[in-house]
Amino acid sequence: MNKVLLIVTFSLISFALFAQGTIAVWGSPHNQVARNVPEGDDFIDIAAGNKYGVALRADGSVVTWGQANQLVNNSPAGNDFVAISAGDQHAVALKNDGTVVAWGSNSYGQLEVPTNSDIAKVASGIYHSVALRTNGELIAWGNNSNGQCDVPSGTFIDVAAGNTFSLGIASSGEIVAWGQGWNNELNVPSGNDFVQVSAKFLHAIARRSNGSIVAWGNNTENLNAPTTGNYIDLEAGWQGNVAIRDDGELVAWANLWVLRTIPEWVQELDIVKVSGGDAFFLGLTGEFGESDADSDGVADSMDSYPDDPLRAYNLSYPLESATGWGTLAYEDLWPQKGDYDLNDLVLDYKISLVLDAEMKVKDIQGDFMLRAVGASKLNAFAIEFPFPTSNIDIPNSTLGVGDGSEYSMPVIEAGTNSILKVISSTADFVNVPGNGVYWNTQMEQPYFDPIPISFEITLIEALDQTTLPFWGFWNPYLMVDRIDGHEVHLPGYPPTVLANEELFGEEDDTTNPEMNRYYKTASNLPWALDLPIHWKYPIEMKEISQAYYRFAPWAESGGTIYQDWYDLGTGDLNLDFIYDR
Amino acid sequence: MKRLIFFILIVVLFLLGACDDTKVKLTEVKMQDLVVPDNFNYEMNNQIDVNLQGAWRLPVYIKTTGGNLLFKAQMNPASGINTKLILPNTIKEVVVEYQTFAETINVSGGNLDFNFRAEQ
Repeated sequence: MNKVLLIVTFSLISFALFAQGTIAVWGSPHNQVARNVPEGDDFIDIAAGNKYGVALRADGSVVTWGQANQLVNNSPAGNDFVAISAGDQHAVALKNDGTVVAWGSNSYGQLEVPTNSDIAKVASGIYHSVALRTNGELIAWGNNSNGQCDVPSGTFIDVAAGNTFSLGIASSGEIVAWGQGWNNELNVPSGNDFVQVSAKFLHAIARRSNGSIVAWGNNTENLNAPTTGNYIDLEAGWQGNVAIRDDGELVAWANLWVLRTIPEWVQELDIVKVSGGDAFFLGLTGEFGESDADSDGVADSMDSYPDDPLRAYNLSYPLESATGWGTLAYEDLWPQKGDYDLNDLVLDYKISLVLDAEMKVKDIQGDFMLRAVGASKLNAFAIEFPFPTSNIDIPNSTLGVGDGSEYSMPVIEAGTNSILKVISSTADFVNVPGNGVYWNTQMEQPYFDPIPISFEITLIEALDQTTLPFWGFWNPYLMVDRIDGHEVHLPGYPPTVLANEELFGEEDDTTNPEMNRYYKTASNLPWALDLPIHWKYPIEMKEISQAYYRFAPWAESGGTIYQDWYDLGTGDLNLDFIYDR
Repeated sequence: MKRLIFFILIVVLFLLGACDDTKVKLTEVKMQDLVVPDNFNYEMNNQIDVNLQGAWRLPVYIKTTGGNLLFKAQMNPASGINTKLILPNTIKEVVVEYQTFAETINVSGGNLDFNFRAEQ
């Protein structure tokens, strides 16, 4: 659960920049609730009570409005509130230091708030309140005539408070109820997949992780929760309930007919939060105040392409690499074992994805640095992508650039996927002398600057990341001796449909597509590695485990220890066996 | 006094030396001698499925626990933020900043799920 609210001051500043929530009221509110809705477009939270409403502004201040001469109208001063909840005639607000303030009626001790400073969430019922602590435990105060404040032990993820009862969602996902259930309020639904619970008076509603809603308690129309659709938020009031469906539509069910229909003008708003009061609902719009020049739904300040509705975000790999580069390292004797110096082909890579507003991939830019060719063969390097060649916007793609000049990278159809031959032959860039002399793998030989190679693919239809195969958005591989089908992939990565299956299981290889086993020896040794840093590879003829002592225990542990084995700063190295130039 | 300090220094150095002796000293191993688990694919990266939900069209920042920005996007209240992040296996936790919240979430299981609506 919520750990701390330490960044509240900073975040509230962000709020002031972005949030522009206005309050909508519908149903049959008290006329003072309807008439005195506070003006402004900077609200970040709302709570509906009995003939009053509470709202939280982006600056951290609280405003209460409604029927005249109510104690609850006396909102607390301050600019450090982060959440609010409304009971019958009392309201509570959570402060950014984890403490809670209550105001309004104290007829049942509703204002006698515990002094805890570790509160993460608070929910008010009719005459009591229940709070969730940052450690997951509960605490309650106010009217306890029915045991509604006798909180159970254990850890919880959500809480709700009704009239004579209280509810919590345990860490297990099950709903727990306590207090008195005169109206079946304690007959909670079974299951361990609940993520949200809400109550106010004589019934309760809850949302499962699959977005469905269940209701229980007083047998009225309040129990007629929708049976279709997936919901992302819900709130129970006295005589009605309202939920936000995943398509943004509001859905209501209620005892009062006036609450059953969402007014058209409300549906047209972009409501992001709802609250149920006594015969009325409050809604809060989630519009952002900043401009959105390309109308893609992403504010210009967050949009890396503010004038392009097809593009919004950048995402580059590898993440958290000190130099911004990762490394692909290959052996090229597959299906025979190599010498495990992993330098037959060494390429640094940087993959930059451009995503649209829905996080779909619109562009893929690949930047490579050819660093080493410790091979006598002239190999090729290609990448399989999980989209058909027909989806590549060839005129708007750059395929490709090598060593500063145009370099043709053929696009090949491979079933429903595409293959981009990034390097058709290492000889296009590197003059490998041969006769035991290689390129950038022998310290005694001359050093050559890495060679930049790049491409940029623009897709006609953006790629949905949720439908990617298990290997993700790319499947890079070496083509031995430039032979189509003679593919060497990363361990666990599948061959393309163009791979020569007759080579599977030959020599030292144990690839078996039926077992989803790819490119490993019988003792599970690889032919390639993908490292999240600019990696210093071994010199010629020195095994990786001779250069990096932590490699062996890392591999033998299944990757659970020495996870940074490849980092030169970790020690346990033989620097004489590492090509460090 | 000087003798006492000198004595303590010797003892401390001795103990430090003893500790060092207990550390496993790694040496080179031949690849052919490795015993690697069957299901291990030498992954050094973790593909994280991101699913973040929130009610506000506000910025979401995914950072390392050290504060380095990994990804930023604007929350979509209807669909949330659904994407993938590939992180080095050495990163076990990330911090998600949204609204007034800063949640530290373990990602070693391959998922970054959080519903800020439950916090609001």
